[in-house]
Amino acid sequence: MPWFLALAISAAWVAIDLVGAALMARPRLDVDFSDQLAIRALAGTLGVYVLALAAPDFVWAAAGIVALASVGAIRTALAIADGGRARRNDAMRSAAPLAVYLVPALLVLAVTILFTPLSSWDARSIWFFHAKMLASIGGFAADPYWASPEIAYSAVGHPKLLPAAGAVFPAIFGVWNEFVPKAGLLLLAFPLLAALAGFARGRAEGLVFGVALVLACFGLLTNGLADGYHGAFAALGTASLLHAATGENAAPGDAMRGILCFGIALSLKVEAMPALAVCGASVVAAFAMARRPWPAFDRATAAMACLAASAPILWIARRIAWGLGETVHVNFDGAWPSRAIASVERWPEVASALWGASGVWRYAVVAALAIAIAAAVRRRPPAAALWRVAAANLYLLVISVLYLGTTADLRWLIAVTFDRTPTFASLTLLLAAWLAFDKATLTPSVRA
Amino acid sequence: LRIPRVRRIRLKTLRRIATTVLAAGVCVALLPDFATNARSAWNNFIAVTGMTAEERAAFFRPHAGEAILPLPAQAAIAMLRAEAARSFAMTASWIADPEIHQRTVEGAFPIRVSSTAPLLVGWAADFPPACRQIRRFEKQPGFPDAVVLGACD
Repeated sequence: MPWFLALAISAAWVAIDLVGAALMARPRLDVDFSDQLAIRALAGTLGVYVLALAAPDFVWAAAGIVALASVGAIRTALAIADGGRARRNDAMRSAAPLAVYLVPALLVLAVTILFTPLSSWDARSIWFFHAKMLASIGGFAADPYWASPEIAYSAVGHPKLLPAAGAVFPAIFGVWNEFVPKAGLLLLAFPLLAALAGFARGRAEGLVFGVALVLACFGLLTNGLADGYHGAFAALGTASLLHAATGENAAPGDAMRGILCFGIALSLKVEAMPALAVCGASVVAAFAMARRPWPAFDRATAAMACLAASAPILWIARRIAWGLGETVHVNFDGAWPSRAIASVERWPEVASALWGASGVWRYAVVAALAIAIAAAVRRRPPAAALWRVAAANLYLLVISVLYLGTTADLRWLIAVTFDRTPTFASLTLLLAAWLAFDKATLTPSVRA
Repeated sequence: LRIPRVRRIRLKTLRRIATTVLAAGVCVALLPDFATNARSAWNNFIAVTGMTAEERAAFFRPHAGEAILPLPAQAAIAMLRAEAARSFAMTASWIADPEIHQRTVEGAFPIRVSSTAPLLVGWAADFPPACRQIRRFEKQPGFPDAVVLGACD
């Protein structure tokens, strides 16, 4: 069984990559190889999820995945045949450091994911309970149990990317226990690590930073909660879109990668909405201050934006069809602004938990040190890092206001979530630290 | 005085390595999560590589790892499976403990919860006298009471 599971996980990664290849426009010569892999992995993950959401059951979804993966395989084979020896050699040279980073990182994650049981409360009550239901029902077919008041506690309105990933291997092997469903986390770890490599353009310092970012939220990436993946995808999405907006450190794949990262983040947790709002505000402000011409939004990027938007839209359609209506989040409703205003005097309590007790302040110190050193070396502050520090703090501010308007007991909500909600902010601050160093001392010209 | 090109490259490389090592050192010192998580990942790796193939295979058997559930929930799930139940209800005192309630609901699925189901799970002390007890799991250390599965008409 362990070898069959390893084989199935590898096959799923290949399928994700090939579905991504089918969904991508023709490979662009100006997009770096590591970024191509990132965009294929991100688009493939979203493509597979959209197929699962749209299909009546997992059998139809599997048929769609096989068909799309076949198209992707043919396109990849044709691209390799057309590329010529020089491009193939270039690709091989780029693939080697990527493999050195991806394989051990996935192996280390796999060992902890597969050999530790599901124990976190929300992982059991929400994500993997929904995965168990999807595996048992056989996909996204309508079932009245989703709308049953008996399971309303499990926030059934949450997006279903993580539960769908968790349902894959139990559905294939017909086994449910406390370990096998967690293998689905590796289907999310693959696009995350690939996106990190794409963001770093496959350079060694960037890959070292990728390992650091995984280590920063290792527990949240392996315990079955959505917060680690949601925070990491949203942080990478924000960082990529800020690259694209400011033009600093930018690459042609930044906009596509950023949009796809947010597509995945929104399919993981509704908390990605505030992150998207913060990202949008930061990107607009950074773009306006950079005084650059409006960037070309090519057809390939537009297609990826449609793919990223289709996953949350399809889930909302499913939610309505299942009769789940407004039950998106058990702790929040439409009346939160009035409750937030009423309990504004408790803001210091929330702020001290989110900035202080959660450990975000440590990441802020690392970012501040990096920015100070970079500013001293370059004789001007690194704008790329400063924008990310602003985005991280704005997110914590938005989240703290949301907390004040909760329908739950505020003290209880802080106690059970303060250590994982700020993941987006911690990782964005870590990205800021790296970008300050990256621009100032390591590689003077990334585009060279 | 011109420094030879090779010499300049070496200095640049050394500076890059020194900066990366310094940055990594600062991160590890300031972010204790790094060291804790790295140690945890390494310990898991050593533990798993030290297992026999049979021990590793045990992780992939049906219901493996259910020992992580609270004992009363394990007992309730085992009794429901033994009865080949399709649905069940729970007493108010059982639902009052969110951990036992939620772990029972999730662990028992695909056996579904329904307030109108004929089978009822609950503690023996406040089990409705009108219901006939089918199975009973005696009080264990750490249990507040015996767990009962009953049929109610």
